Amino acid sequence: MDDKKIIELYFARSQDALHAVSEKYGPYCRAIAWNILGSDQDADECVNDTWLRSWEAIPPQRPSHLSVFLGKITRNLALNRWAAHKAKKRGAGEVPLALVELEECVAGGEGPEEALDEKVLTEAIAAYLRTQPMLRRMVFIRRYWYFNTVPVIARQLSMAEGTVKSALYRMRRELKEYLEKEGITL
Amino acid sequence: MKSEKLLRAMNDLPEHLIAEGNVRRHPLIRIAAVAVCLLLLVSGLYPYFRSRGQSGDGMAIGVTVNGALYEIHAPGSAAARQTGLPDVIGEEMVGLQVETIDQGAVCQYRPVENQRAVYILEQENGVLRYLIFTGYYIPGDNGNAHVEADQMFLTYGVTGPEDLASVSWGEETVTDTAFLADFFHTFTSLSGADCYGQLDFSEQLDDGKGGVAVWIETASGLRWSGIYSETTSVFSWCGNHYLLEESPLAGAEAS
Repeated sequence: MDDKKIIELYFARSQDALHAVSEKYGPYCRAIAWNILGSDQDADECVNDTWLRSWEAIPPQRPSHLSVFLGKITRNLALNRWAAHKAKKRGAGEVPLALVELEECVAGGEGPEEALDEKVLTEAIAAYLRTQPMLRRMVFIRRYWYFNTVPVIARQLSMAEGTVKSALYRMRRELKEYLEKEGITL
Repeated sequence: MKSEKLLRAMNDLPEHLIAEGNVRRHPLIRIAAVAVCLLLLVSGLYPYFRSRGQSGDGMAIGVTVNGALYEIHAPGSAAARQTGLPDVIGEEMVGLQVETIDQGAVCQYRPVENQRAVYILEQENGVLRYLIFTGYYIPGDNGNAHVEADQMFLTYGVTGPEDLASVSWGEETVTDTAFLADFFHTFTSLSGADCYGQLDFSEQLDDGKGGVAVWIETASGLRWSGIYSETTSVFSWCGNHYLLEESPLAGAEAS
């Protein structure tokens, strides 16, 4: 079923919408949740929560990219769940590794964190990514949005693992410089 | 944690960026890129190797010095002449020793300081040889990574266009300072993979035609060559690929 039809089902408040997204985007959302949480049970619960949230959000919202819309909900829910697990000192997934890598993008020191408008930060990251060629953007998004591992990215993009690693390293370094140039200090 | 803010902020990135990240590439793209790279190198370097073979150099020995790759060449060999080196190595040309390798002591090439493109190898039997730079070693790479252009220039002691003497291809030799400045700045103003094309290299290739050998000479007399392909706008230099969309070399043709 195409996305337009699914969204119409949402607007018609038909439960078939949930069956349709579950069938079409279940594996996609589950992969995002699993990459973050590293647990089958948590990933399944997260995906079920995603359908519920989407039911609440559509209408009034009418997503232009249904997959990304659902993926964003899943990612957000999974990160929240991951943070809760972290507080209880349990949890797995790729997030801890991604966080360690992204430490290279932030200023050193453990001083008080300044309140920073998340929207400004989002726009700055997007602006930086727009300066990059498509393949590099894909590598970055796959690592830090979808939380794919380096070997998975290499396989999916037909690249050598070393090339993926060096691209990520270079982009983290460049992103840090870009944010500093924009006056954004984390 | 500060980096967690980054991950959270990425959640609201524009949808097209996120959707784009989920696209797969065809596995043949990489194979095609490697194949065309080889074609470019072979077609461009053929005249160079042919001339070396005619001079009776034989196979040059490759060595590593401080993470860079070099070849050992006798004075007077075609490779040494092409690099702009004298036919005889005098003792006064041997500078400070910088490293020891299996083949002998690696010493600075005193006539041209502040560069690492040429060293002198003092072998145990007292014979002096040139070590000529051939490229940087990038471990674990599949051949598509690159070294920044300013570092490549620095290898030859070039810090600005005033350090360049000429750029040649085919029968053409350009010494015009404006051209040399444009040539230098075209490379050194590049930043990011957009300009180097190391990751998107495969996308820049169209008909796979070979390129033209371009020789660059410094004010101090060192020379080296790269391969420029106008069809792809890619300049290949010691294994690095630089995408030059506004290339001063546009129109360069072999004679």
